[in-house]
Amino acid sequence: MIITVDGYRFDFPNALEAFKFDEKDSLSPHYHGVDALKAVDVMVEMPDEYLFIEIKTYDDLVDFKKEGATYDDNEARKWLIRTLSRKYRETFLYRLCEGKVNKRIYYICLLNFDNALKSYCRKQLAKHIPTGNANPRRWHRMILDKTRLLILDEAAWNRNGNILRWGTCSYIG
Amino acid sequence: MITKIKLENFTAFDELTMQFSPGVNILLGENGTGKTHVMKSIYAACAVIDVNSSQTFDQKLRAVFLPNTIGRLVHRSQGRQQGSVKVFRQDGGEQNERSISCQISTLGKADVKMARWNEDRRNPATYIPVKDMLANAPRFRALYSEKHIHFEEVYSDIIDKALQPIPKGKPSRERARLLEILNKSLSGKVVEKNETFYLRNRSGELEFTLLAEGLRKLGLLFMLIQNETLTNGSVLFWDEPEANLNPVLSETVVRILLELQKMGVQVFIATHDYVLLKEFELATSEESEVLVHTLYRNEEGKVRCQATSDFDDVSPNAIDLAYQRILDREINKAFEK
Repeated sequence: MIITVDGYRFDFPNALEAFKFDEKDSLSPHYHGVDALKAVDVMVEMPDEYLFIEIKTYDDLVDFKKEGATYDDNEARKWLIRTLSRKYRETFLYRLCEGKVNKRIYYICLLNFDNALKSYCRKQLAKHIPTGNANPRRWHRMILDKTRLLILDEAAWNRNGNILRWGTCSYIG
Repeated sequence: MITKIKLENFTAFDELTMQFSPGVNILLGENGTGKTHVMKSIYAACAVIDVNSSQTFDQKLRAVFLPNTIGRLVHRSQGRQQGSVKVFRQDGGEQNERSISCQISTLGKADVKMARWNEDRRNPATYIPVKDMLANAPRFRALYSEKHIHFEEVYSDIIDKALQPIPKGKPSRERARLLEILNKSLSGKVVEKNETFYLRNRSGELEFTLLAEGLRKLGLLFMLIQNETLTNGSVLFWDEPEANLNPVLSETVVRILLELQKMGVQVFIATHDYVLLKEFELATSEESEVLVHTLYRNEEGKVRCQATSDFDDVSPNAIDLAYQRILDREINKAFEK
């Protein structure tokens, strides 16, 4: 199953479904339709997993910089983490309402940052989602397992066998 | 300024030529790829024209490398008998390069040749070694000159440089600005009494032995800027500025180095540090002249070098590869259960 979103071409040969999740076209069968909830870019259903895929590039931060009147470095960082965490949480809620959170969920953020910054970003994002069981006394399930948050780029996707078994990712511009 | 080095069968190198920027030169590479050797070789060449030194090139090479015999500097390989190092420099307005070379045999013979190298003498080079020496300065120089103690000469030299007298009069505006930046980071200024260094602030004077080693590095920079050792036309070598330095201070170090470059100081640093490299990437502007040299071993195990002024093109980047390995392990952890 091939899908092209935001300049990335994904090929998931064994996917049951792969579609643009934040679909704006009301005639599309995958029309999102709930403006109040933010959405990740791509949704993939594999036989045993759901993949939530969000694409963010350095250029998105540059665009934010242009928009932000009170821009500083911290603001851009906070905006990125806030956006990525909110997109995951609200997509999770949407899928919960669809009855489609019954498989392992992986949240894949495609970011074209340095490898060192990806690790930093992963830590921050894990706190904000939050991953793991945030309240073991009351929660019976997690929003996202803490190991299933993946921050990577095209190169990391295509050199890691565990990711490649889902499919391939290539930037086509 | 130093323009080039040619190494043949010398230490880690079989054959290598490196061209340098007149500004900042950042040497990257895994351990054992010869970053420090490149810097020490050029430093030894610069010492020949130092107004305060009377050593020859081969003598200085011996003193800074400290091999059992100078023949040990020849690249180890079967049947190989000779190695050489040749350093080139060309100052503004000069038509031709000057050079100095040292040919060394495994039997311990050293032959130095110069092409106009020592026609002008100056105070050109400072080498900051990995380990701080200012805290150990009291009586170290006397001990070093009177006894055989096994320290590379760079450790003694840096104390000499730090103890140079401060010129009379007010420092120039640029110099005052750099000292002010360091003042803020150190929360005080550095003073010296009887070869002992202190950080002086409102609370009094703190001996360098009681000061964090990272701050001592900034203290050393303070002294070298204050006493005008680092001045237009001089060369600074700094081996792993990041050692014992809190990453937060890297921004200050990079700012100072880029300012020194603008003042006409040629800078060489060897680093393994992501933060320092990233700070350079973020701070570099069109006015900055920064060249990143990546030393690496090819498939045959020979050391080779790639140079670029574009940080995105640094390859192979040993620092990034280390983070890449961590990232891959982090990714694969997601599939362990």
